[in-house]
Amino acid sequence: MIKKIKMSGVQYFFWIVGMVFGNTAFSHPTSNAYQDGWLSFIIAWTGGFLLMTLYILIYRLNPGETLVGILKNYFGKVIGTLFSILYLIYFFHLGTIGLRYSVEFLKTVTYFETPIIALAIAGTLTIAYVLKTGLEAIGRIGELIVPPVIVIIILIFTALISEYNIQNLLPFMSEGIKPILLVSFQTMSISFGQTVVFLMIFPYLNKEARLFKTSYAGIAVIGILLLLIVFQEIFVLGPDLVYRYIFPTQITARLLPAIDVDQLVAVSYVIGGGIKIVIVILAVLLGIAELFNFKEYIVFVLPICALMIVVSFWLFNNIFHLIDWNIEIFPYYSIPFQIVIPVIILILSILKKQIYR
Amino acid sequence: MVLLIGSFILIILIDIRDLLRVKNLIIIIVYVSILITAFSLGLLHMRDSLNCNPSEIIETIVRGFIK
Repeated sequence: MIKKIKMSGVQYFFWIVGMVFGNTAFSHPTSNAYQDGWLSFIIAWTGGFLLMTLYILIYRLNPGETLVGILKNYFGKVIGTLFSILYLIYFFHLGTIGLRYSVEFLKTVTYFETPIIALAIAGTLTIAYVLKTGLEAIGRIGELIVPPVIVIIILIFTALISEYNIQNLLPFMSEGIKPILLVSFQTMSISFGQTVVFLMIFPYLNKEARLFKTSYAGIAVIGILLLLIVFQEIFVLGPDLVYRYIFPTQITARLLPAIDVDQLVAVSYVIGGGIKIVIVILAVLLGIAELFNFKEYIVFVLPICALMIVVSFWLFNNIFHLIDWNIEIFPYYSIPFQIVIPVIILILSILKKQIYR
Repeated sequence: MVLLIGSFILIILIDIRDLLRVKNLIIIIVYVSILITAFSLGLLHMRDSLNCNPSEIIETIVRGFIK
């Protein structure tokens, strides 16, 4: 394991904010609940806190171990390695989805005539450069580029107040609770479940990071910001338009009277997407290094990034396939990785601790 | 095609110093395997020869479970 570098709590906090924003901003899972999207989000947010608690408890019971190490400890060398490889493929898959979403967003919103492959190569080269600079720089980048995202979200929410129509929230729960719970599950998986990737990062945080406090603060802050976005879209566009638009936040920003801020939204989306890809690919690289007992991961950055570009174009035929797959299939596909295996690990960790007592 | 081959030659040129520095055969083998996988997938994708799509396979399995 690469142990020299440690990251601070503040850096970790901004990573959580950036990553959850990157997961949610592009896909807008709550739009499927129409005017009750805010309620779905609040339920999903609560689920996000529970999932984060699960992941932190696992780390607390296995201090200093990454997910790969934990899996090897509890499932043995063969099955543990197999599960680790599955997890690394899952993290890589998250990276490819993030990359495809980011380039499709840029193509749809800003660079209409640029070939999509050029956008993917340009974005991935930046990500590869960030990853090559090492863990310390990656941590500092989060500190530098995530705060503007928070400012942009609050700025747009406040500036649009004159356009709000609170009547758009009605009728409340017209279809009953079932569709709301389904959307909550999808949102929890897409937005917060992907934080399972932090099980690979936790050992690289310094002792002052105060894992519970920082993680909850991160989830709380990004939850509030995303809730503001959900309310803003419903208030301004109405539930039907939010459901129909691919990137409703961009449209909402264009409705701002007098000032043109839609490129600021694009910037915040790209930052969120970039942070998410950097974190998941970093987890893949750390996993590969640990799995093969290598002392460094930097040499694998470019091949993994090249593979990510190719796979991201292979996986989805077009943006509509990507959106449908991400909303309808991804949450179920993620259940074993986000819930089932972590719960099994937690039970085994508790049992092991009690036996040793 | 030129873009694909050019990018992969560029990647090797950038990494060659690191690869020579580490002097670890397993690292070089893993590195080359990842690069070859990426190159062949890219080539097949450009030729439209990749008929199976992992997303569709996952979708079929998930829909089977949901039903």
